[in-house]
Amino acid sequence: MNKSTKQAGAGSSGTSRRERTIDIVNKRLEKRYRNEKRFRLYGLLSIMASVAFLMFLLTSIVGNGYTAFLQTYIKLDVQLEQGMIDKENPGRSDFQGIIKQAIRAYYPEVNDRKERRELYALFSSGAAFQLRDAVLKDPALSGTTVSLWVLADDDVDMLMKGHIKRDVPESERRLNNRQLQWIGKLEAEKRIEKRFNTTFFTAGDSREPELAGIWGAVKGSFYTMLVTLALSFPIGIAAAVYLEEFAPKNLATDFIEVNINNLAAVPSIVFGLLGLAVFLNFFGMPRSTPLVGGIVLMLMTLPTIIIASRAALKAVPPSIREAALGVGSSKLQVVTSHVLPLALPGMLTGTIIGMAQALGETAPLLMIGMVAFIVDVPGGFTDPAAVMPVQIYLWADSPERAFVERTSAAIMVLLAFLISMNALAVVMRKRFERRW
Amino acid sequence: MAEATATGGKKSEAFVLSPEKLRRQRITKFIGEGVLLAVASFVAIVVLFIFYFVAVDAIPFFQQRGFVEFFTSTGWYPADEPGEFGALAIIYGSGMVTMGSALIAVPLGISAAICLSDVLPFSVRQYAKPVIEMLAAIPSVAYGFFALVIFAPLLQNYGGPILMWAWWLIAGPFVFLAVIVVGDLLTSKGGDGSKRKIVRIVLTGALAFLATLFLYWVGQTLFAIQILSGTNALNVSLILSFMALPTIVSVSEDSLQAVGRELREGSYALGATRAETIVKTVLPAASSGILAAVILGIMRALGETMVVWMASGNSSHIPEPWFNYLDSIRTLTATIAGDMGEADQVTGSERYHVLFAMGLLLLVFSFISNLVSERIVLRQRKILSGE
Repeated sequence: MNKSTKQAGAGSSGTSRRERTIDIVNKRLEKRYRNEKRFRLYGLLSIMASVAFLMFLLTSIVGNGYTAFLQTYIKLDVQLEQGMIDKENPGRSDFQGIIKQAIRAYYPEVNDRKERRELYALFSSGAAFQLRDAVLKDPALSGTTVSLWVLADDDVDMLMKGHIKRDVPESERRLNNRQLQWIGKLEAEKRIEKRFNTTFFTAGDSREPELAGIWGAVKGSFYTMLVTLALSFPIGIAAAVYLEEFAPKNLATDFIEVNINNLAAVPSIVFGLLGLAVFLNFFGMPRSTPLVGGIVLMLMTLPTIIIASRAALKAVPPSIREAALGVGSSKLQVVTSHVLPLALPGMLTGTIIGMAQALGETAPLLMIGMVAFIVDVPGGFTDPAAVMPVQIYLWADSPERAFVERTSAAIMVLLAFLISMNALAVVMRKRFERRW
Repeated sequence: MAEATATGGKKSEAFVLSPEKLRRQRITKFIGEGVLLAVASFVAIVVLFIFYFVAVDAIPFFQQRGFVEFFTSTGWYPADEPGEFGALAIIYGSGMVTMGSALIAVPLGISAAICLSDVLPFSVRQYAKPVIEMLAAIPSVAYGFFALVIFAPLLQNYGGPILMWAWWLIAGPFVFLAVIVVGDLLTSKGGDGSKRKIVRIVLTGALAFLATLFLYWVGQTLFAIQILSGTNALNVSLILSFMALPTIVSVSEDSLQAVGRELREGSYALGATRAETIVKTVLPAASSGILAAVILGIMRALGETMVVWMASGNSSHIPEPWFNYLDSIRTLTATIAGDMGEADQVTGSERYHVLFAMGLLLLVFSFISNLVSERIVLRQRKILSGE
């Protein structure tokens, strides 16, 4: 301001004074508008950067993982001769041997021991289990020839999906030229194809990528979340109700409030330390179980639930409380029959968001031993279990290429859960939010 | 008078509660409030509980080894017999990635928050905000996988070009802006009209040429860099910065929103543009809240485990030179997560307790910064509402 008037004064000798001032102001204005534009651009750029990062992350995970939903199967004609299946106990027959025989029958030209081993390696060890299941389901198959689509080995699967390139030198490829030839024969006779990968959604963990699935982890996560929900929802809501409706304004209340915020700030790994030191080593609870995992995650989700619930309670206008008090209800009745029902949607929203956080948490669970390799699908709260993020972590550490795509696919499944939970929370907030 | 009270007393039986009912109500109230108080204090006690149990397992370590080695030595050989437990390099690693992620996340987060709260129209904001919040919904292990499987090979194979592009994109605009400003400043005095203009153009041109040379030279130097391992501090810092971003954005946006309309409108009324209003009026008023946001974001980065465990390389040494972000490092959280599996088998040894000492360090640090940020937010609220 000062500068422009001074300059205007200096230049007033020659030209008309008013014009000069306007010129200067306009010039400055132009500059200021340019600044304004640049400023806006920075903000937009930073938002774009985060959106771009998110897009990059999601597309690379989806791009890596979508192929895992398909799995390569090979059609095998298995001759089940009468003597092969144990009559008394069909489940204990030598299915591995039968499968090998069927493979040999399809490739009669392969005789060398080493070559045979390479040939068998094209088929998953799960093929024998598939055959067993088929026979147990229908004992009449004995004595006939069964056309069975069996699981291909993960290397064959990777080849069919293009992750193993055919044109690289043989020494750098996981499948040698002979094996490629055998696969070529299958392809020519249309005996190899990709189908929807049901194993991925129904099996527990496995060392063999083609046999590994997320069902065990999903169930583990489910039990863990159940424990977390059962503990953190009532505790969180009770604490919020106390702090919002009953707490006197004194030091003790302040102390509680500060500590709730402190709890929110505790790094997640420290909750794991606590779980290890207290629940496992002190109370001797069973290791790697949904029970302990759920308790640890409960402590983590509490602050989220409490803070959201308090906001929901705050949003209920005082007039409702006063009206209820006015017709003679007690403080407790006011809360239970008027305030709580009105605040419940907001509290549920907070709970869902807290649960979503807990579902994605890994670090504290590593501390309490949920990182063990567990094949069986857990059946209860005290069975050793893996949860989905830990399963992802375990697979991410595995060297096989097939596990990379399965890891991505598991992340996609987990993200689908998380995003739908968050979306549900948003929808609920929109739906039940009341403006008073 | 007496009659009236009598009839009143009679009637009261109809709708005033009997003493017995009143007593029952009082008991329910007592029990109800008692239970609620107990639950609420349980939550508070949990924090003390955490503190206590972590400290109890951390103290034996300090009793046996003292503080000096832990805080000053970089020798971390916990598996040796006798082991060395120097955590300096690990603490340094934690500080390094936290610092690095703050350097990226803070400018990005604050400008995004400003853009969300003051620049974008509501229709765009509605969609931009959930997208940024989605960054918070992605589980850390997914970030870890991304850092390890996708970003690390990228950095390893195309590290030089990536660094060069980043340098041009980030430093380029700043350097050219500086050139224009310096050119303006140098020619702001003396000379008249057209002559000054010519001098300015020539000067700015020369400066721009020099600046381009400088940019190009640094860019080529960066281009030539071979990144030996993609799992390094840079990788982790970048990923952590995007993890901390939602926290910074949402907390600073809240504090920008807390600055009322009056201040903004007053500034507009004085003829300020939007940029001037934000920079000179809104930001100073919201500065303490933004500081709190930064602290919270930094805490998020410091406490994160999975990404650093999976993608930081986990080698416990101080990089050579000290600011070399292309070297692999090891952090406190990753050490706790990684070593506990083995240390837990020998519960009671120093190796087990040293991890609790690290946990205690993290805990103390997070408590302090939480209390500080809370104090700051409270003060801002008081100032804004008080005036």
